[in-house]
Amino acid sequence: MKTTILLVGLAVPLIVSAQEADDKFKDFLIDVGPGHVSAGDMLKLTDSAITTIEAPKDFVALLNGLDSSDKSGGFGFAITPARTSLTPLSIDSYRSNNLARLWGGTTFSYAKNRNPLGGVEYKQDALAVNVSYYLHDKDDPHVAAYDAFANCSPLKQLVVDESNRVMQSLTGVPPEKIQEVLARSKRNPQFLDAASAAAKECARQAASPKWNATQFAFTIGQGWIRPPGAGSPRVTLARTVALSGAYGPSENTLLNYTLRRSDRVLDLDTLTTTQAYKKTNIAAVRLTYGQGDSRDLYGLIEASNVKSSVATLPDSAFKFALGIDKRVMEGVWLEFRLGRRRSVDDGKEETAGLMNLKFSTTTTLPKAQAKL
Amino acid sequence: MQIKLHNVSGGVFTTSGPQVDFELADAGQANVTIHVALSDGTHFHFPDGSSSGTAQSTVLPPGDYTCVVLVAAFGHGSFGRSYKSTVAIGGKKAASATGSLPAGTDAETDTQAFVLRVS
Repeated sequence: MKTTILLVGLAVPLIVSAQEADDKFKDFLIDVGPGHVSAGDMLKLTDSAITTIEAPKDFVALLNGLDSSDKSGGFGFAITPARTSLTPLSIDSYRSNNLARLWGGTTFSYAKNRNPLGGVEYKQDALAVNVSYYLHDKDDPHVAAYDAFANCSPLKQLVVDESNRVMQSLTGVPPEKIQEVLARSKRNPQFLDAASAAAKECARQAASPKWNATQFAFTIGQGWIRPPGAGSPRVTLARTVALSGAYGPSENTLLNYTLRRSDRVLDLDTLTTTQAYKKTNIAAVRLTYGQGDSRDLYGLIEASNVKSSVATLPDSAFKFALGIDKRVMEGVWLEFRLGRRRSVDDGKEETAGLMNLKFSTTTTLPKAQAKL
Repeated sequence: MQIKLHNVSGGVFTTSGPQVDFELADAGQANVTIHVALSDGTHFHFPDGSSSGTAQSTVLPPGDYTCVVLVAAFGHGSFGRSYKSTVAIGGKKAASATGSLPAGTDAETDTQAFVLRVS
């Protein structure tokens, strides 16, 4: 047994260095968050290469992306049908029907890029379906935001006042003259500005997420790789099924879990010969304690089934770890982990410590709440 | 946004009383508020906490009432940007507004008015 202390990101003279250190830090942690996984994630495409389809005009951008993807680094798209104007799901259906909420959280994604291997550029593509769902509708950020809007008293008062103002201008006006008078009286830009500000403020207040909302996410995806040249056969790059979730048993605690199975994971060294495939099964669980209302101190304990003998699993991930995340000042977090992992050098188990100084408003810990 | 009037002739919408149902609803994705004000001081508002399309009613003696309909759609924090609003009086569609908030616009509104003739 040996012990290693890794100090990652403590000396960070440049923001770029801090970012690199942060990425390295994440390599050591099993991702147990119930977050969104897309085809772009499978091919490690940057978010900027992904087109989110919401309206017909987005298809134009999509077609342009298809055309340019042969020349550039990659492209992808993600579509949540219920949130598009193509097959819209109303917010009223979304908040009142659990099946509608499930459909509203279903995203289809596709990505393609090129991967240079041994001087040859291989084409890769991937498809994924992700479903995320909040167990309690009130925890769903979209429902919470709409409920806040529906109960927004300042907005309602502005609407009542504006209606009364228009009504006053129409007092005693005969039916055939109403449109003429209305055309003058309804010009009131101050109303829309004030109403918009009131609606925004109500939404802002609702945006304080419940940090340990109970939710789950399911993802299924597959990637392929194809050698250059017409007629080259496409072979499977990987096939993944993942179930992850979050459970908040009390106000201060959050239990995250994830089960991820990947099979037909291609060993890229065998791409030009007889392809060899591997498979992995990852199970991980993390208990997080968040202290106080301001949540500037988190403690965690996590365990996974990462085995020291299986080379296909993340080489450096902890199989067991304790950790603390402390906000030392606004926008700066100190993150510390101590646990057992497989040595990168000889594959044997070792105790390792990690410390990271992160310049961010949030910790590396996965947040329970998805963004709006 | 533009509110269209339906079943309004010569600025008048007719319905039978004395109990008159008002149904305010939206089937879009934006955050939409709909307000109906009558010249006798009665107000109907959507959303009111109930599911979309739930009828509210009032008792109106026969006569003419000025009716103001205001619809406003907001995009901030909303599920989407479309709106599909309707106001039905006595089971008949009286006003509607359909569309989407344009890119770069966080709010839109329109107001319409007519005379509600209760027989």
